[in-house]
Amino acid sequence: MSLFDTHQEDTDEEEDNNVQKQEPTDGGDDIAFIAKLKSSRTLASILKTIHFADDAIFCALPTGIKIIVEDKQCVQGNAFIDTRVFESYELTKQVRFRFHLETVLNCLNIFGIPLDPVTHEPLPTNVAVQIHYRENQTHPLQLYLEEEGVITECLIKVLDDTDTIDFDFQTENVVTKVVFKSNGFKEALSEIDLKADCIELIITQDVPHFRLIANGCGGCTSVDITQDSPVMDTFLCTEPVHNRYKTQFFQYIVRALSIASKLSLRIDAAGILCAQFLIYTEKDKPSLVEYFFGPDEELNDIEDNTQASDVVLIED
Amino acid sequence: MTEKKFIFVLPPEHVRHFGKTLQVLTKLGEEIYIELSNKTNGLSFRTANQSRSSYSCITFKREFFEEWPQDDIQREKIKCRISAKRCMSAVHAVLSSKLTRLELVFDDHKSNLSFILHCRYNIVKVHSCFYIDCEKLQARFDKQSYKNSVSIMSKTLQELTAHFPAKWDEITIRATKDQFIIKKCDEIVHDDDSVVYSMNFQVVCEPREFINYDIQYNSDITFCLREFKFLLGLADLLNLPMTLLFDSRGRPIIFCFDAEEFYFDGIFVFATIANREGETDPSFTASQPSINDISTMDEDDLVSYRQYTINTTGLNRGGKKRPAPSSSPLQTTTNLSDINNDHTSIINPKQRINTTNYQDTTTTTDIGDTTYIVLSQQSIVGLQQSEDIMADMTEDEDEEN
Repeated sequence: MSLFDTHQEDTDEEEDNNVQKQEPTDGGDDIAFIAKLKSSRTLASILKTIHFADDAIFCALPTGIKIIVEDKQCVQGNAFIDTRVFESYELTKQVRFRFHLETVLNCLNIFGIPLDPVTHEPLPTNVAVQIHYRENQTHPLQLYLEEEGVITECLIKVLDDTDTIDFDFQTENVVTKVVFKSNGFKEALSEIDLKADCIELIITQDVPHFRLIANGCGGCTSVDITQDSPVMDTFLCTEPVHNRYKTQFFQYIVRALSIASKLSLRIDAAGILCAQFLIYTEKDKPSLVEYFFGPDEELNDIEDNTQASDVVLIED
Repeated sequence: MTEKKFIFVLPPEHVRHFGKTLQVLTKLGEEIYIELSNKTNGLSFRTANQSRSSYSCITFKREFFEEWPQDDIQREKIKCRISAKRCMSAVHAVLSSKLTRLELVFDDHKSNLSFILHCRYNIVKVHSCFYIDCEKLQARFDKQSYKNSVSIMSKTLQELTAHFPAKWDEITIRATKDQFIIKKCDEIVHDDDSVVYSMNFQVVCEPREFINYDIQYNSDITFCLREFKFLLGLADLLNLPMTLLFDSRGRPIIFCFDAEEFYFDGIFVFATIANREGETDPSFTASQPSINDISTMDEDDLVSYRQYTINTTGLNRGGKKRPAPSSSPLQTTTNLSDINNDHTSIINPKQRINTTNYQDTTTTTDIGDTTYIVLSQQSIVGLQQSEDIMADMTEDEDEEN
């Protein structure tokens, strides 16, 4: 096959799974970015947690990779993978492009996803991945995956870059911050009714300190976690918070919890929730996934509309 | 009702039993009726399926709970029903978490039942659902009047029937003094009355498999397999002796157990298929006339039989032409004096009628309760047609208090 022919001389060099990948045969002058990961699982699992839209923005920065996914319903998910997580990371020029997330995920999982027979969680794999990207945007994104001497080359077309929402999360104006251990919090969320429209989040200084309420049909489900619970690492609350968020967002949180070790929830004065997940994959440097959610704004919209109509009348 | 809260607390060792038994109930019906009754000193959970061909009741005694609402509440009892679906999600939460404490709170003011789960790590989960006040769900049956009674460990019964494929609608039990056979129903009757014989297999048990084996009347009864399998799901949790009471076709089969060391008991009543018109019960013997089998009754008996149905059930739907045995509802009431008269194994219809008449004129049982009658299950086609007779929940005029 032609694919193997071009890399023929390189396959002889490969002994076992952990070996460095071969360089592509054509010239590398205009290569903007090369990154190598020991296990494709690292990247695949992180991308899976923010896979709630079709497209994602890929940014290669000096500090690492940032991937941004947005859902038009006002949620943004960002994934940061530090350079130290990578086996090797070479950046000539900062790049930013849009790509189809599902395609990249399928490529990363091209050798299959082995599952743990007991927990049904994906196991770490021996699939090494190498990402290449040329400066010129007409060139596709190149992914090379290798498992035990079998190499797959994936060429993925990239799309034009788009603007992303700036949530303007006021880090200096954070009203409350709670840090949880993820496995305990996962247990707390396990029975919450995800068929309800909204989930109310109440954080107060009095007991119960942290409460989630889901109002379904025929009744409601609620979860209380007090400050002294071993699940809660940190609890800071300057003002009581009582907001509503779409249930869908909590589904994303649950998804990310499965690979995270810690979760931090921060809410600013505007009610925007920032959920950050600390994920340890390979190496000691953690990766970070964060979500920004806006609160359910039904009541606020009504107020805004009345204000706008007043302005029109005055002008007339 | 006043603003009262009834709080029941379960200790961690009983939580699993509570969850598992409620889970079985949620599969057997669409609504769960809850009743706190002082006379039985227990909290009972009952359900019946949509076609009213099965009734289940599980009663948890006072000792099952760590805390119990105060006994001085005489007037205000709990009599309500909740949706089985909501209950199912709460029960699922109960079973999947390790709980230190489970509380059931009935809040009269908001008509709300809350399951408060105290999990580990100081996490408290609350599942609440609305309840509707209603009358008690009660089936009329008399355990003492059954001629056949066998007891078997529930796990044994589960193992015997485990390989019966779930897609079979019904299961047949054929019992004689020497053998107990569990098999598939022999015939499938189609709309055009043609009969199809299909492949069958059977499990043949000897009396010594059973803890107790008392067969007075050779039986051949058929009932729903699906619900039977749900019921046997309890055997996964507790291997208890389960008693089966049954006799003739058309009379419901009763499964009951008493988990004494766990302080709860249960009773499940499933309807059985009655004979088709004109057919006699194959195991029927001339010496034991059955009230269900009209073809062997003489004229006098027939008249008395009709009278019998009128008096006890008030259901006289004269003019509706149907196979008589199938329409006979299960008659006897649970009154104790009835039992004394019925002790003889041979049942003379006339004698029985007298007894029952007596009952009706002098005493009434369960005043103010909504009763429904567990009826014989029709053949698949007949079921639709007979619905108005079979599914009869007689709403009471609330003669209570």
